[in-house]
Amino acid sequence: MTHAASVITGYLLAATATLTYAAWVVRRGRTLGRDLGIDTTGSADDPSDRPSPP
Amino acid sequence: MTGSLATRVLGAVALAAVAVMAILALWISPADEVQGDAVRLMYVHVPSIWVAYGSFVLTAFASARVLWRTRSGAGGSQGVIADRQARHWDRVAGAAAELGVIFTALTLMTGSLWGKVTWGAYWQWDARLTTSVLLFVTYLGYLALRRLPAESRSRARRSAVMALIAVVNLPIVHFSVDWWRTLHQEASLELGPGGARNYTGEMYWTLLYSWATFTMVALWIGIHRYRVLRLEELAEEAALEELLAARRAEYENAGPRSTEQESNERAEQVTSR
Repeated sequence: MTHAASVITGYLLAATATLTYAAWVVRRGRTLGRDLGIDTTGSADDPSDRPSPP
Repeated sequence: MTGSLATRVLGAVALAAVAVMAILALWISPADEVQGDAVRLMYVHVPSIWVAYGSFVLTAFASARVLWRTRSGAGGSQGVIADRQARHWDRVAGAAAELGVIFTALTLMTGSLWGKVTWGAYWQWDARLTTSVLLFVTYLGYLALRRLPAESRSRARRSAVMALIAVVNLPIVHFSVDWWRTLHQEASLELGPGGARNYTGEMYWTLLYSWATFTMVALWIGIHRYRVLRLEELAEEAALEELLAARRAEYENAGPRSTEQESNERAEQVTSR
């Protein structure tokens, strides 16, 4: 493998791994948020702050 | 769903920083006299392990906080606050460890490619490489431990203990190049007064810039992962509530039962296991 090929492979691997992980995290957040019908971006949004169901 | 204005801004800045980093690392920064263009792998390899180090240190810090907040069985409002804080730090530890594992994997992969063109081999059982792969495997074990089904408090405590054991390997990885004769080169930069530099000029600044970029990317993913972990907890709680409601409804529909009936049912459940 030439130097240039190694560098390109390394950068592509890094980009692919990071993007794949980031996409998985965002997608999982969307799915869970939709299923639960909530948004987690507020400030006082700790689960223990939520009122208990009757 | 896990995004906010702050994370959107951070994400946009990180993305722009990655584009600038690619230009600096692939075009502006010069090739090395000895290694040629292969040195450009350094701008991914070195920041990856720095971010992994930071993530694992954060995991250890958060784990210590978990153990601290869960050390006593305080009741009442004090207990509720302690439990809430323990859960917060447990999520921080989980999100940071996952990032650490991802970036350690990146370090191993890019290091392997770099090794092939400079040493002629993808892998050597050198002290730095061996301790790094051990670090990777240990934190994979930590993540597996976090996924084992258990009551949330005891799961958080046992994971915290494991994180504090695992972090012991971190200085061993970092100083392995000084403590043993290794094929791997010495530290690229030594921070602090009088710290040595193996790189200067454009290479030095590109390396620092790449580290800042990787940190921003990791921070952006880490914040999202933290929020996803909170959603996972909520989903678990919702599923449990649903199960309890179903059981209550079942009980109410069946009407009052005798103690004898209940003990017979329990005996059936035990024998069916």
